[in-house]
Amino acid sequence: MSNNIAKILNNATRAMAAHQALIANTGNNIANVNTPGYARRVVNLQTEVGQSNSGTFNIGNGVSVQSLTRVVDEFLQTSVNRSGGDQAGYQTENDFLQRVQSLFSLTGNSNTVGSALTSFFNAANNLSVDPSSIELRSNFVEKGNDLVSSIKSTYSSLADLQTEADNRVVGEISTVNSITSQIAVLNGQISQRETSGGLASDERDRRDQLLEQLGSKISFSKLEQADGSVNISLSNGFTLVNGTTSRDLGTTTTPSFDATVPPSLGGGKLNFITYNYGTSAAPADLDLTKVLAAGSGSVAGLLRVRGTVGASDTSSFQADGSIVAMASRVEAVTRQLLTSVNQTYLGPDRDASTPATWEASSGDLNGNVPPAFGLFDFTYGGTKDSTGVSGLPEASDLTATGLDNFSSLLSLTSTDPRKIAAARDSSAGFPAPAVFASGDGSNIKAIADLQASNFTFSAGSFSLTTTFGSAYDEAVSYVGNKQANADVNQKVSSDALNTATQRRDQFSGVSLDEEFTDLIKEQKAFQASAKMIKTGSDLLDIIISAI
Amino acid sequence: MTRISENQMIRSMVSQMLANQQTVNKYSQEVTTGLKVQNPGDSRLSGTISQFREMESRISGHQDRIKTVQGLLTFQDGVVSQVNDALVRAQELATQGANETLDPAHRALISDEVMALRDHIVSLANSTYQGRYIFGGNDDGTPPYTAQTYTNPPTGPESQRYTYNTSLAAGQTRTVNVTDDTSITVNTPGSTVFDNSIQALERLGRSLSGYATNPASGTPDGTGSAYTFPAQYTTQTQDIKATIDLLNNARETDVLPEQSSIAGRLARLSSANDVLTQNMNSAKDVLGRLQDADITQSASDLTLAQSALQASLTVTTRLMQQKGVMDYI
Repeated sequence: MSNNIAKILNNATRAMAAHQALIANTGNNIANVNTPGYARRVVNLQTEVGQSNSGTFNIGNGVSVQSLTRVVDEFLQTSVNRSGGDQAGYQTENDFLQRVQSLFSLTGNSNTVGSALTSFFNAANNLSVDPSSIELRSNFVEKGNDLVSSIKSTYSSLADLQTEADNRVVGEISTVNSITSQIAVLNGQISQRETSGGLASDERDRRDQLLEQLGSKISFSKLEQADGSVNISLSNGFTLVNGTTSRDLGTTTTPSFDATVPPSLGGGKLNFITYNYGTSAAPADLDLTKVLAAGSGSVAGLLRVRGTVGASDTSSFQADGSIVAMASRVEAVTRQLLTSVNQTYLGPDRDASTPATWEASSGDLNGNVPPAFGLFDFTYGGTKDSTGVSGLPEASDLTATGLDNFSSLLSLTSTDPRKIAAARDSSAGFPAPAVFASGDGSNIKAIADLQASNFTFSAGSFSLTTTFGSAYDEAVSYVGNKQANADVNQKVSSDALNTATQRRDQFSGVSLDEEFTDLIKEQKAFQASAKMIKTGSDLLDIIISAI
Repeated sequence: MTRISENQMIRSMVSQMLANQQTVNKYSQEVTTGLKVQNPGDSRLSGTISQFREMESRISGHQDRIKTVQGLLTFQDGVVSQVNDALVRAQELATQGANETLDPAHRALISDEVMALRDHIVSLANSTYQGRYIFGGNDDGTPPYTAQTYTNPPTGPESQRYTYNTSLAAGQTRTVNVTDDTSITVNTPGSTVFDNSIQALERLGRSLSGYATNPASGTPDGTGSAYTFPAQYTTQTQDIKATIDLLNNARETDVLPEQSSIAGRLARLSSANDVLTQNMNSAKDVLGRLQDADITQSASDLTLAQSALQASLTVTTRLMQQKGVMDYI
């Protein structure tokens, strides 16, 4: 007869050990109930297989801990990553577009470009009733100033938003680099532990968490290797993480593949997202900007609003992106003010016999004719009227300055009410000296009449032939639709993320009720096992006392 | 069996609560601003809204301008009607003066009143509106009529000859926009209204006080000698009689047509204003439908959203307080 007392004691000891492990695991689950990315774990028990006893039957050898399982579903985790990327991208886009659209508010309480344009033309019309009135002239100057300041502030807000988006791209890319390098380190730890037969649960939790974070920044594909490490690559096949090595992306305004990067809206330069194959001294940059812009995540969202530059682009308005599209519309209005409106302001050529020179036929209360950029001017140190007809502001004059935008430089030529050229020459005509009557409002009426005239508004890839008012309405409509779309996309992706997260939490999350129920069960089993030791010990005592 | 984990429950409660808070915020903004569309993204028709808002402010600009132009034209109407009255009075005086029962000394007495009428018309022609000469054409900074002199007599009102400003600008008029596609002339060069009246009165006054005016017809050139009585008494009478027709002509061809032209322009302004008011109403109507919040609707939506938020807060609190297995151990 075999010694079953020893077996009783052994089984009880093993059971206590096993249940200690169970309780410890439950404790760990409870402890991590709020830990982001934590997947609950289950301790798997199995009956202990011992050496066969001599005899016909075998009383079992108790229980032992077989393994520890992380309760995760790869599919659910991937769908969380994917919808997290969509959500982060649209959220970013929507945040920026909300700030853009507030510049084009419809409440009527703010000095928008549209309301300033209408007031400006109204003031011109009013001045034409009584052109020598200093009050009406001041009012016209004020409305002109309002228009200039609304254009400047709208444009500079757009430029600031673009700069902010650009800075955030740089920040996001450095976060991406830090995430990928941590993933590479975790890959090493996981493969080391798992090739030796263990399960690197904690490391996997942390890696899943990092992958989720990475998914909210950029879109990528991952492939888990046999040793437990994951390889991460972008949609064009560029590898970010391979086993224990990661490649850092860079951001640069001077990439090796594009020698002439156009300025950004604010005058700086936009960052390209690159990988440098060469050295910093001799960079061989690979452009990944468009690849990332086409994907999802906050980087893509930022690039969609900020815009990306093409290799042949020379102007900031050629970049795609919602902010650039709106800035182009503002800039197009500015350029028409500087050319067409100024041209009308100069009046017809007094001396048609010299077509190369434009002799203005409009004049102010002091009897002077305005300069080429007579009503609207821009800050520039060089020669402003350098091409085409001398004395006439033309689009080619603007191009010749080499300036990229005029909206941030716009100003009124003069804020002196007397210097507003409301009159046109009332002399017998050239060569008689020009005479400007104080009560003549024909020139200012010609400016007012421009409100109903069509112009071709263009800047960068934007071009539209319409009136000033309609050009602004189109801009409102454009930003409105963009923002409304981003809003819908954000809501949809947010719902999708919620659903995906719910499903993952349903599967992998910790339920305290469940854990406590398990705890009671496990504690009972532990207590029972302890009782078995007492029973075994009693049996031994009986035997010993019988001797 | 569906597992509900701790995080899942909290996440869903929080997201529900935030969604409800957003709805409350949206409706409370609608109620406080009275607008359901505040930013372009709030409506797919924001371009149209912007267009109508612009139209609204353009129309209101036109309406304000119409008021100014109405003031200006009404003032001119008053001036021209005073000229008309003066001319009627002058015709009476001319008829009286032409009576051959009067001797030159009596005629000279009538002349005083005639010259006073002339000065009155000159001052009307030189009248200013808001500090600017309204009958000076585009030359509104200098008086349209300035005094020259006749060679005879050397002094007195009869020696003064009033001529209209000769600058080109004085002959020009000003047109202004009063609607998007209507413009209206707001002034008339004084020469077309006053020249003939002033000249006729000068001729009459000079004749009555005993001076001929050269040339016998047309614009006086500043010369003219004293009649010799009694030889030229008949010439004096004929000259006085001739001015009756001149005064009549001046009234019928210059003053009355100007009066009716001003009346016509005032009528056009008022009909333009009616059209603008109509357009303004329809713009307001469209904006009302597209942009304004239906306050009753928004207020009831707000109440509903507040109840939903309240409910989600209550549910959240209840669930947080709900006892779990832990509480029974």
